[in-house]
This record gives sequence, C-alpha cells and structure tokens, in this order.
Amino acid sequence: MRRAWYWISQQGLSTQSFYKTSGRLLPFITAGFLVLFLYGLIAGLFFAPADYQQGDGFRIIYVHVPSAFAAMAIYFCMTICAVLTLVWRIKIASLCLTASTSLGAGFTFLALVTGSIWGKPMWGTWWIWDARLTSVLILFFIYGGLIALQSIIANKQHRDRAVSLMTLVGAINLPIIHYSVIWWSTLHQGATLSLFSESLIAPAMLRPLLAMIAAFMLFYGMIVCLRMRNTILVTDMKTEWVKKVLQ
Amino acid sequence: MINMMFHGYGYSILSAYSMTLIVMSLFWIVALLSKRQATKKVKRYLSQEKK
Amino acid sequence: MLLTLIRYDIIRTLRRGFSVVTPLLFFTMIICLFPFAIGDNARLIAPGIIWVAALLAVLLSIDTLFTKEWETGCLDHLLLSPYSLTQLVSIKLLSHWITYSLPLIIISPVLGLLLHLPPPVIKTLMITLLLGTPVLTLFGALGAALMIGIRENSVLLPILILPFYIPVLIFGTSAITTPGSLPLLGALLLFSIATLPFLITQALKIGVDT
Repeated sequence: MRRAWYWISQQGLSTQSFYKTSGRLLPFITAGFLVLFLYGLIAGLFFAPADYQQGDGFRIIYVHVPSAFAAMAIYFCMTICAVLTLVWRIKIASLCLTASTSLGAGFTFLALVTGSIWGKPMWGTWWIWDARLTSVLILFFIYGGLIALQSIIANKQHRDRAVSLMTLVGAINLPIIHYSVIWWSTLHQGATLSLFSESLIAPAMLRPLLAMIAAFMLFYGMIVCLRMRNTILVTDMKTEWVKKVLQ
Repeated sequence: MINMMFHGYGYSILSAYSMTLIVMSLFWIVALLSKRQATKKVKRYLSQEKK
Repeated sequence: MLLTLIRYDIIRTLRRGFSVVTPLLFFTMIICLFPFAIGDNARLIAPGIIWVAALLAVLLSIDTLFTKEWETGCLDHLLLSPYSLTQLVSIKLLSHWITYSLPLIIISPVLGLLLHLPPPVIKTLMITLLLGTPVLTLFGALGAALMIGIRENSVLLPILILPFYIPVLIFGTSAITTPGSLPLLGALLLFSIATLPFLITQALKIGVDT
C-alpha cells in the first residue's frame, strides 16, 4: 500500500505522465465541450420554453448559472490543490492551482456581469448589495488578491505555498456564498438545482442548463490542461522526455 | 429585430451571451498562443544545445 | 512569562517613538475629512466612517509587523527556540493590538462627538470596535506574515487582506443598528482567535523556508 502510494506520488503524478495523459485526453475534452456548449447554446436560446413569469429574459441563466457554478467549483478545486501542495507538495497540484486563479476570476466576473444584465430588467437595478451578490463580489476580490500574490513572488516554491495558504483562508467564503440565499433571504432567488431533491424547473429548461454547466466545467479543464502543459514544457526543458516529445 | 425575437429581452440576452463568448474565447486564444510560444522557446533551447 | 513578554514588546514599540502615534493621527484625520466632503449629513453615516477609518488605520499599522524580525534574522531563531511559535505570535499580536488598536477605541468617543453621535450609539460603537479590531489585527497579521521576503509589497497587502475585512465591517456596522449582529461579531472574533495564529505561523514558516 505504502509502495503504491509512493509510486503514485513520484511517477503517477509526475509532470511527465501528466503531460502524456492530458495530451491523450485533451481532444476528447475539447470535443465534449464543443458539443455540449453548442447544444446548450442553441437549445437554451431557441428550444427551451419561455418562462411564464420572466418571459424570454430567463434565457440569461444559461450563461449566468454555469459561470457562477464554475466560479465556485474552480475555487473548490483550488482548495483541494492547495491542500495537496501544502501537505504533500505534489507538483502538478500547485501547477493546477496557479493556472486556475485567473480562470476563476474570469468566471466570477462573468457571473457578476451577466447577473447584473439580468437584474436590470428583472429587479430594475444593475446592482444591489444583497448577500449573494456581495459574497460573490468578495470571491472576485479574493481571486484578484491571489492573482496579485502569485504574480509578485518570484521564487516558485515560495509562490506556490503562499498562494495555497491564502486559498485555504479564502475557502471560508464558499459556504457563505452557498448559504447566503438561505441565511439572509434577500433579493437573489434560492437555488433552482439540487442533487437530492427534485429540481424546481421544467425538464425542457433543465437539460440545456445542465449541458451548459458541464460544458463550462469541461472548458475549465481544457484551459487548465493547456496552461499546465505549457508551463511543464518550459520548466522541464532540460529533460530527455521533452526532447523526445518535440522531435 | 433581435429585441423583437425575444420579446423585449433581446439586447440583454445578446449582451450577456456575447460577453460570455468573448471572455471564454479570450482564454482559449491566449492559452493557444502561449502554447506556440512555449514550444518555440523549448525548440530554440534544444537547437542551441545541439550546437 | 506571558506578561513579561507582552510588557517587553510594548515597551520596545513605545521606544520607537512617533510611529506609535501615526495610525492614531491617520485615524483622526480620515474621520475629519468626511464632514468636509459630505457636510452636515456626515453624522448620518458616522458609525460607518469611524469603522472604515479604524480599518484603514489597522491596515496601515500592521504591514511592517514582522519586517524587523525578518530582516534581523530574529525570526529564524524564534523558529528554532523551544517555545511554540504560535504562542509567540499570539503574544506579539496582543501587544500590537494594545499599542495600536486600543488607542483608536479610546479616542473614538471624542470623534463620535465631533460627528454628533448620541452617547448610547457611541457606547455600542465602542463595543463593536472592541470586538472587531482584534479580527482586523489577526487578518492583517496573516497578510504581513505572507509579505516577509517580498519586496514590492506596499499595495499587495491591502489587496490581499481587504476582502476578508469586508465581513468584519458588515457585522461591525450592522451591530450598531441591529443588536442581533453583535453575537455574530463575537463568533467571528472567537473563530479567528482560534484559527488565525496557527495560519500566521504557517505563513511565517513559508517565508523563512524559501
């Protein structure tokens, strides 16, 4: 058992094997993303029935909910990577962590912008200081702080560990975002999707939404893989396997 | 026309969707560009090493 | 030993002279800016003004918390010493809070009077500051610990730490109008006292190791 674990941490999680596996997986991830994204886009825009209360305006949720989901899921993934970096110093975890920050910030930005575009016709205002909006804004600021931190520290090991520690501290915000609509029931509506009970949404509306969420997550995986591969290629420049890969 | 098609919500929908598409494609393009750059950098190193 | 260390730390800070008064002056001046900018209406938002000013003053005082120890190499010795670093960090934070934050709370009634706050509100304001400023000091110290060994850090610390100040600010100011938030602020304080000294130690170790 211990030997197996040793092998996994040394060989299975090495940059080289990650480069090879991700190279094999990337075409599938890209194809899956494109198919799901196009289906979600077309079905969401044209085939899903209009909401009886919000009319066609509800179609914004097909980009808003997936962005918000991705913003939080990316942070969750970063938290796991942070633990792996701090406790076991697994290299690809720290690579994944630093590759994820700007993507997370991008999706949080999208969630905020599409949300306010949706809020203008529905609530009559672009922005309101409600609990959900504020906590997502704080998430955006935390992402910004992490990006600033990682861009300023030159030493790689120092950078990875400092960013990991800060990521762990910021993870306290995730449950706050999730429960903000329950604890402080202000303007933002509650969750529509749930794993354990029936969703509060018609199946014809739900399917494109789920497809979009999956597509956004695949997109995240795709970009993170691309970025990690670039970094690995440059840092492992002097090894034999890079030479073989490029010839 | 777009605004009519979605019963008055066309512009909101258009701006939200285009914003999303712009941000996502920017991420994609930058990642692909840096891939080219990384490959170039490593190849230059390898060719120098040969000499 | 605990009291000796605190006393020693405070005396050492006081010997530095004027730097102890700087955050206090900063606090007062920031608050005096608002009546000029907003006019008579400033008294309506006075608790918020005092809170934001206190937050900025704490942030100002904290960014060089560990620099001296780091530059003189004292930190490496402390890491090797038989005492637990978490304990030493807690003592240092306590003395920092006494020298920098406590004066802010003590002069806040005067500033509250300048902004025409009624006495009962001033009393609750002081209680919220008493509960809130330790949290500000703790989070600020975490940022300061991460900053050791980084050169261009003047803007980085506020960017990194301010997101965590927002909840403190929300609970602190809302406790003034709705007393129900006061326990929440207390819970926040207890939670950060329980977790942050450990995290600060880890941050210091990361800085020293690399």
